[in-house]
Amino acid sequence: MTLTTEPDTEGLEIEADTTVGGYEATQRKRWPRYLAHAILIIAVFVFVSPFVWAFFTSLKPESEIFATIYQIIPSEPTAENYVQVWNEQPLDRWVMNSLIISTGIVFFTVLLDTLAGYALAKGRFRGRGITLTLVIGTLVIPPQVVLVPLFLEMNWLGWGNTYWAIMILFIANPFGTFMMRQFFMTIPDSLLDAARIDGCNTFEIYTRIMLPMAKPALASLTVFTFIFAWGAFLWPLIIVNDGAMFPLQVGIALLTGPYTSNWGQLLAAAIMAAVPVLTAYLLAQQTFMEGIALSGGGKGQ
Amino acid sequence: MNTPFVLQKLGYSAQNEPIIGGALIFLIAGLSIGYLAFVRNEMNAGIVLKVGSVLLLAFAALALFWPQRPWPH
Repeated sequence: MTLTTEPDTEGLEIEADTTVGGYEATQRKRWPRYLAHAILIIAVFVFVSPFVWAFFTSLKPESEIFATIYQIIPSEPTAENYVQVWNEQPLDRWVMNSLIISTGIVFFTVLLDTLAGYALAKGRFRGRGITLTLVIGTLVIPPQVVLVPLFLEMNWLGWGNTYWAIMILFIANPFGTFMMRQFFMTIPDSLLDAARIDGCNTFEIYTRIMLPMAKPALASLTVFTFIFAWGAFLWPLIIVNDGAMFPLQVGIALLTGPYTSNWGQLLAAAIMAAVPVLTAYLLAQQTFMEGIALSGGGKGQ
Repeated sequence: MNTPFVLQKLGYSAQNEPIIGGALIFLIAGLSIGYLAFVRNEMNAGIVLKVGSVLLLAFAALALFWPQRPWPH
């Protein structure tokens, strides 16, 4: 047995091999990313293509819609469907109704959900646990279950055919309460204690500390609720039977007749109905993403 | 005049009537958001909140002076 100070080149060769192998491993690691991107591209195509098809078809004259159904891009695009649906239907009133309902739902949802979330996150009162359990418990009740009792209740109150009846089902949704509660849980108690030492009462802590800090979560809750309220269909269809009070979605649905439908106008109205939602999302995109990140993963961090 | 009747009257408007209930909702939302956007400095309000509050007040005026295009047109 001889002692030597020579470096063990065999080990280095193995390292070199590993390096070569490491390159291969890097190549292998790229495959999941390619696969994920491929799946995402397919998913984007599946979700976006109906919208693109609807948009281009809305630019075709009524007589050409079914004659050129496989030709996606119209040879002679026209806006006549948009003009006709605007002139022949009370679309302005339906849009206004949808705006009123969505604004009311978003405003009262954000107000009540932040208050409830604040109380459930930072309040110290008897029955907090059971209240939270009840709030979360209502998430599992399908809204269709309460439609008939709520319909009877609204008629008993004399609220049939009113904005209040449409809005009340969606105000203070438990999802928003839970989301805001999760967000407020991430705010350290020491901040609240400092505010209290400075002279803030509970409500002032809510308005001066909690609300400004919750801006990203508020933005995402606003956009979530607006998208949900703008697309509401079943409950307004049931509770409203006057054409003047229809929200846009119900009005569009009733454009289809029993024997024939004006598909060009229908698609034009559908595209117009999608514009506010897209605008809301694009305006609040950044804060929307931040809100999801904060409210979804904040507590565990 | 009982309360449900007043609420019913406020919450409903026929085709060519001013939308009082809608104007009320826009006004409440617009004033509240405007207060947060323009008065409360700690909110550090951006352009969306400021323009949004003005837009809501404009919608309140639009609902109050409805209809601009009486039906049938």
